[in-house]
Amino acid sequence: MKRYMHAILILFVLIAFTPATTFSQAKKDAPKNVKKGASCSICHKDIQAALPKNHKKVTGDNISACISCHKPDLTGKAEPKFYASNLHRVHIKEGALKECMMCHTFTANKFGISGYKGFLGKLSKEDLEKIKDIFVSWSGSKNTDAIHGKANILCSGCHEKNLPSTGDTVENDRCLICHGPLDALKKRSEPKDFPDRNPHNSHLGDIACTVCHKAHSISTVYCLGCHGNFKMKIPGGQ
Amino acid sequence: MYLETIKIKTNPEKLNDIKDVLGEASRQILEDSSLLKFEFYRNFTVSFDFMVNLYWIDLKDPQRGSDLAYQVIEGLKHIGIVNYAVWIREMDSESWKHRETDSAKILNKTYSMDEEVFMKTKESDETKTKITRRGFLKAGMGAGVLAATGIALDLTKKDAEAAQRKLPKKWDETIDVVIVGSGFAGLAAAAEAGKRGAKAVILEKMPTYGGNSIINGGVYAAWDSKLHLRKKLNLGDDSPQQHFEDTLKGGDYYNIPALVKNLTEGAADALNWMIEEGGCKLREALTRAGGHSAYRTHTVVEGVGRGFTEPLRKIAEKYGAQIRLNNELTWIWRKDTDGPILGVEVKTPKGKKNIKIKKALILASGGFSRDIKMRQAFNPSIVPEYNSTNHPGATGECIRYAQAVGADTLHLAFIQLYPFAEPETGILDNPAVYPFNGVGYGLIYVDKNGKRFVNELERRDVCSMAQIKLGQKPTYSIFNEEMVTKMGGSMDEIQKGMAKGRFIKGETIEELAEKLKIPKQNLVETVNKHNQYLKDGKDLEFNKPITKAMIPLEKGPFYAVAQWPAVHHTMGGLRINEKTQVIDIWGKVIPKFYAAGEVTGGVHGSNRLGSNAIPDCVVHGRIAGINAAQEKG
Repeated sequence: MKRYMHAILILFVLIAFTPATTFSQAKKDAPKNVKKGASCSICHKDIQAALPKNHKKVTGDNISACISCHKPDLTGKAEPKFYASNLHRVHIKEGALKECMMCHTFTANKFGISGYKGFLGKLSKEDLEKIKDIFVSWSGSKNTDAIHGKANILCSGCHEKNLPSTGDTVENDRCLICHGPLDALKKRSEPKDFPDRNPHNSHLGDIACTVCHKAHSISTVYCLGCHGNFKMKIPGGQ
Repeated sequence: MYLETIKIKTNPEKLNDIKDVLGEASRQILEDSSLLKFEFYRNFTVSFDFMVNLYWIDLKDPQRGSDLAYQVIEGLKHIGIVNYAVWIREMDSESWKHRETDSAKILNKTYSMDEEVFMKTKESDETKTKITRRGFLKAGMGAGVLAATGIALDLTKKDAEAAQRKLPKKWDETIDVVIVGSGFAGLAAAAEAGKRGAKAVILEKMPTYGGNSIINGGVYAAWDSKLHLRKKLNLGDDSPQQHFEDTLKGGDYYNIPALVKNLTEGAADALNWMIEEGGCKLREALTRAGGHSAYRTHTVVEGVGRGFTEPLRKIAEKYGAQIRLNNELTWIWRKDTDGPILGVEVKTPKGKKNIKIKKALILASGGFSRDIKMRQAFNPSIVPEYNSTNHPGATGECIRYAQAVGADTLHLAFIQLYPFAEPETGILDNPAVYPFNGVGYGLIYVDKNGKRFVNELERRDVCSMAQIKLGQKPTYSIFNEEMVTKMGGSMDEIQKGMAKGRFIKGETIEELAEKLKIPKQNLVETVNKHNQYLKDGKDLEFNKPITKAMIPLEKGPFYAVAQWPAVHHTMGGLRINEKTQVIDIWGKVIPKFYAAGEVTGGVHGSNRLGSNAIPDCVVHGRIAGINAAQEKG
C-alpha cells in the first residue's frame, strides 16, 4: 500500500512538473533569431514530451506536422477554437516565442501558415506588429480580449474571416451571435434596483457595443461620462 | 545684429498681391533661426505703401543682404512692382548702407509706426506655445485681423499649427455637403440637403450620435402645430410675433432680430415636419415656461431630446445622409480671405483624412459648456466648480477652427446656467425637467428654510442667480399630483424618480417638509401664502403673473425635487446671417460656409428662453441644409 502511495505521488509530481520543465528547458534553449519556418526541435529537444500525454506520435518537426491533423479553421465562425488557442497561449505565456514567423508566413502582405496552401488574410506590416501586442493582451491582460481568450475565442471569433486593419470595429451583430439576442441581453443586464439604468437599453438608443467594450484596451462605462454617481462595472474595465 | 529694411511703393490694385508676397515671406520667421523679428508697416497716409523690417541676429554677407530680402524682391518683381528700396544697417550703428534702389522717391516718405499691421518676434512665438486657451483665443483673433488685411490666414498662430499648415496636396474624398455634428441642427441640415439631391455626410466626433440634443429635455416652443394643443386645451392666445417679442425680451434685446424671426416663424412648420415625415409624437400637454408669456412649450412623448433626434435621423437617412461616428474635425481648409471653404481635415479611426467640399461646410457642432477653460476665458464667473448638464463632447474647438479661417463670433460671454439640474452631478435627468415645466401650473421653488426666493416664471438666468445668492445648496420645487400630467409629466416618471430618491413624496405639506428637513411651519406658511396669491390673482412677494391654469397646492399627495444650477447653454458663437451663412470679421459672407444651432451666436441674446433651443436648431439647420444644397458644386 505504501509503495502504491509512492507511485501515486510520483505520478502527481510528474504531472505537475513535466510540462513546466519542458517549457523552461525550451525557454532556455530559445534561439535569439528564429528563422522562417524553423523547426520546433530548436527549442523542444523532445517534441513528444511537449505534447499532451496521450497525443499520438508526431512525425515531422514543424507546424506542418500539426496541421496535417489540426486543420486550420478558416470558416470564421464565432466559436471557441481549443487547439489554436492552446498553441498560441502556451507559447506566448512562456515567452519562448515572440517570432510569429516560426509557424506563420507573411509574403506580399498575405498572412498564412507555413506548409499550408491557403491564406489567413491580408495584413499590413504595421498591423502584423500590432497583432503581437494583441496576442500578449489576449493571453494574459485584464482586457476583454483576454476574457475571450480564456474561453478559447481567437481573433476570428470576433473578426470573422478577414483580418481587421487599424480602425476597424466589430459590429454589434457579431457580438450578438454569442451574447444575444439583444432582448435577452437587455434583460440580463437590467439592474434590479433601477431598471432604467440599463446600459444595454439606455436613453441613447442603439449604440455600438464598442462604445464601452474595448477588446484590446481597458473598457469604460460610457454612461459615467455624465452619470458620475452611478455604480456600474464592466468586464475588462479598471 | 542687422536691420534690413525694404520700402515698397505700390498702388491700390496691387494691394492684395503684395500682402500675399509679404505674408509668404513672413513664414520664414519659423524656419530661419537667425531671423529675430519680422515687422511690417503700412504708410499712415498712403495706405498702399509698405515698409518691412527684418531683424537679423547674424547675416552671412551684410553687403549682399539676406536671401529673404531677395525672395521678397523677386516676389515683388513677379507681381509687377518696381518701386522699392532695400536698406541695411548694423543695429548699433546709425549709418545706413544703401544697397539697392530702383526708386529714390520713396525714401522721402515718412513712415508712421502707429499703423502697425504685423509684427512678429521669436520671443512672442515661444511664449505663445505655453499660453493658456484664453491667450490662444486672443492669438486666434490676431490671425483674424491678418486674414482681413489679406496677408495670410494664419500667421501668428504657431501654437494652432496654422503657420506651418499648407493646403493638402491631394484630397482623400470629395463630398457635396459636410456637416459637423449630429444633433438637431446637423440632422435637420442633412435631411434638407439630402432631399435636394446633395450627398450629405455628418461627421460626429463622439462614438454615439446626437450630442447634447439626444439628452436634451425634449421641450419645444412653437406658437402652434398641426395638433393645435393650445386651442384644444383652452390655454389662451399666442402668435409668432408674441414668441418673437418674448425671445427678444428674454435675451435683453441682444438678439439679432432676423435670426429670432427665423426661429419664431419657422418653429411650427419645423415641428409639423418632424411629426409628418419623422413620426415624432407629442404629449397632450402644453406648458408655460419661464420667460414665455404664453402656453407654447410642447413636450415630446419620450420626455427627452431623443424623441426629436430619432425622427430627424430617420428623415436624414431617408434622403441618403450618412452619419460617421468617431470622426473629429481637426481643421478647416480655406486658401484666402475672399475665397470659399475648400475642405476639412478629419481625424477618423483609420487615420487623418482630407475631404474636399463641393458645395458647403455646415458647422452644427454645438456649444462649449464642457470646455471649462474656454467658458471661463469668456466669462470668469463660470468657475470650474460648476457642474454641467452637457455631454462630454460639448467643447469649443470648432469655434476656434472657424475663427482661424476668419469667422466672426459674438456673445461668447453669455453662458446659461440651467437652474434646476440634479444638484450632485449637474445632469438634466427626467425629474430635472419638472421644475421647468411645472411653473405655469403653480409649481413653486423654496429654499432650505422653506421660503420662496424668486418669481418662478422668471427667466433661467434670474432663477439661477437667485439660488446662488441664497448661498445654500440645494433648493426644491414643490408640486402636487394634479399638476403632473398637465405639465407634460407622467405618474410612471414620478414612480421611477422616487425609486432613485429624486422625487420626494408627502401626503401632506408637513410630511414633505419633514422628509426634506425643511422647517415644517415655514413650508406650510409659504404654501398657504402662495395659495392665497393664486386666489387673489396677485403675488405680493415676487409679483409672479398669476394665470387661471395655476393650481393651488391644497390637495396631496405633494412632491418635491432638489435642484441647483449647472452650466447648460452657450448663447454665443459664430456670427451668421439670416441664411445661416457664416460672416467674417469684416462683415462679409465666407463662401460655402454655414452654421446652425448652439455653435452660432445671436439667436438668443444674453439669455436663452427654455424650449427655444430645439426650434432654433431645427429651423436654422433646415435653412442651412437648403442653402448648402443650392451652392454650386
